[in-house]
Amino acid sequence: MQTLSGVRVADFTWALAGPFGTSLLAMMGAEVIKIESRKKLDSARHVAALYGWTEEPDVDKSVEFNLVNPGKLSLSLDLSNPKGVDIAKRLVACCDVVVDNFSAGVMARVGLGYPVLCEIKPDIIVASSAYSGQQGPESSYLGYAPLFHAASGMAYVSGYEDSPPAYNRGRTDTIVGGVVAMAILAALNHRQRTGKGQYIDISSRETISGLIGHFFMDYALNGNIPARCGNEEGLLCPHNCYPCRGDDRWITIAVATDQEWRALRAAMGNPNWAIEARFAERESRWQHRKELDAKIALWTRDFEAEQLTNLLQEAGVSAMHNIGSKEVVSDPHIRERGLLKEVEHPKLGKQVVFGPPFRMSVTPPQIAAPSPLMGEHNDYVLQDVLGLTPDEVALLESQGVLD
Amino acid sequence: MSTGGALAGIRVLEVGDMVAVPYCGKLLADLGAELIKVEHPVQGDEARGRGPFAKGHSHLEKSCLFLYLNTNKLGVTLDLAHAQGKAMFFDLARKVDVIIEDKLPREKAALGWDDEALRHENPGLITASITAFGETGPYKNYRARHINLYQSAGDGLVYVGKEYVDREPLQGPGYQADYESAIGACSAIMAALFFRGNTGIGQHIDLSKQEWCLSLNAMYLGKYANGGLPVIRSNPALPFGGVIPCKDGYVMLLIVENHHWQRLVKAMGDPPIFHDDRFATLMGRAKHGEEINRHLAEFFVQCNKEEIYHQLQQQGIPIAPVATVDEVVASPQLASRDYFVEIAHPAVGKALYPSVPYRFSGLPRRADRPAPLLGEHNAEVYERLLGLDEPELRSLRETGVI
Repeated sequence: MQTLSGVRVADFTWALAGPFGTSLLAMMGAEVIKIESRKKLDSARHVAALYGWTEEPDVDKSVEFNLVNPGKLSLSLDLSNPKGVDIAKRLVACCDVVVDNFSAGVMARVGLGYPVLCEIKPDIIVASSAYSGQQGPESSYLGYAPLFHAASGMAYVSGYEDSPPAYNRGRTDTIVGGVVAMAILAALNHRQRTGKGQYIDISSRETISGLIGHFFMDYALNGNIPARCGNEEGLLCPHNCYPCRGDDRWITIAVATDQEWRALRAAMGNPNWAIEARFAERESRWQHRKELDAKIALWTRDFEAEQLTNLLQEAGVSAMHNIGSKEVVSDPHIRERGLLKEVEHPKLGKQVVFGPPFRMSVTPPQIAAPSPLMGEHNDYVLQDVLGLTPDEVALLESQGVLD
Repeated sequence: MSTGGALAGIRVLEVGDMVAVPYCGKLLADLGAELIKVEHPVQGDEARGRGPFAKGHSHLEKSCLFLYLNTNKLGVTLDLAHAQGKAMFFDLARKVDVIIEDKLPREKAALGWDDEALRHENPGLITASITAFGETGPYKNYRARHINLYQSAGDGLVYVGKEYVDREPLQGPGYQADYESAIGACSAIMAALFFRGNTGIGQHIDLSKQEWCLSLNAMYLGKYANGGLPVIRSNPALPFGGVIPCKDGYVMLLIVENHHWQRLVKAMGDPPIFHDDRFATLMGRAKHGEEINRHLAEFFVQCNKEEIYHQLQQQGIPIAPVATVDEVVASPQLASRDYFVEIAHPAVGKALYPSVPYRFSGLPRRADRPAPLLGEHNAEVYERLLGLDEPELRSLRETGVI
């Protein structure tokens, strides 16, 4: 038995935010049925082409799609066809949760609004995630991750102190997916206790604003408007990335107290420059931080990053080597914990996926299968779940409902 | 207090400093759980000592970070290093549904803290360890602050673009990776609660913040593991657009689909240059992104960010202002959803706090209470849960246990 055994999800999400959330539910044992269509293709099935980097590829051969959709089932269904909407409604009747991340109002326009779904299944839990949420003067506005990163206040405080705001990639999307999963799980607990379902309206902008809450408090209490500050954190010093031996290898060092500074100084062999009085105490050290950073960088650059991490951690200093695309594959800690898993994908062959992102002792989450091919589970969903006959499925197929 | 929330009736014990565990506790508390925060009797949560502070000067009750992360909680103090304090902690553990904590494995061992022993006495108990690198593996006892965590999870490469190549990798603002990890932990805990509701069985959760954050970036980081090129900072972030200066700040423009491009060209007054064949296709525009950017820069520098945001969005063009905190607070959209709520705190008075990013149709919004003063709820909690009386509490205060 798994954590979410018996929970079935009708998953209308696409791109990155929603699918990351429903992949968490799938890893915990929910049956997640992705409803998708070639007519309105999930952008994760053709990311590079969408951005104009490549020609249009095979929709069943997207590495990106496989990374965010493992363990799900796929029903290909054309929701611009009334017969497709009809099938979707029959599916909802067999589900516990419905989730989408379309622009606000799209589900209602398609004929799958909450009041309709509620009539089909009174205790259904419906979660919709959108840029500004479902109500308010900007609810019809378009929103992608960089846009809610900007509108939330996070972009303005991201970046070097002397640079424009930094553009943040997909994690702004995926963390919204985390909140989608979180809200659905809250509603499942509530339904378990009360028997009641409900509608959940999630705002991506509000999700991201919540991740910089203390900046809003500085404004509320002091009238301050926080600015970009690069790698600084308050008066912590030294506090930065320092170069190590090799191509684009770095170590982060974060010193909060004078005691930690003395530990770092000792680890460096107490060089003459480091025992100068202006570096001894926090405030003075912080005032001379640029000079200090330059000196430390001269020391770190002769070390292998991993070796230096070990040396500084032994000395009681918060230090860690940077990890990127290559290191995530080779790092001994990540390997020993086994974050990267191999799955056999019918068209891509052996593929590496990430996860599950947490462990549970009694019901361990797991990656049970690769991402689905487009419409791979049509027969299962239509016949086994909905009880259609093979002839009825063939008819839908011939009518183009399963495109 | 906990009537009506999704987690009504669930009692959580929180032992953690700074951001990840406290934010996880706040998320659970916002959903209706009864949250009991345990702090050290003298300095309290480390966040109490972090600036900025209300009105500038350092004060345990005036840290912006602490005030935000600890709303809707009860606060007790307890010295876990003291034998009696430890005994009281284990007594509390028998009376709760969930414990969330951020102790390193070596710290837990030194305290004699054994989750399975706690579960033996309280079989439905859910324990959640939220640490930088998890409870197993060679780095399990490594200490990490936010910048260490952020850069250990592929995140320095999230900021890509030529302007970053020759500089040190950049961290996310504030405590981004810690905040994000709390969302993963909160989800895992609620999944475990759901399983317990079905079976009565509790369990342990081990969340490595590093693994959670790596997973958030799997779509980029995983390409190399699958034979693709590594994501490096010199990769272009977008074919064109992105952050563009305007008259009073910056806008973020994301033009991907053909119809968005066509609408943008029209909104810019249909400049003849954009009818050039080079810009007719997605691939053409990606190839000539720099040239497009030059034209966009000339156009947007004459615009006011808020005005052009509404003007272009109303024509179906994906754009947003790069908002400062005061502009977010003033946003009519957020105001229409009552995102910022006023909470009065005894030491800093009334202030507008960011609230929750979801609205549940079947649940009332929680009436928020301010972060607890250090030890504010000692008497209430220790009397109600442990049955201690006033003389016993006095003696615990005198010996520094609480």
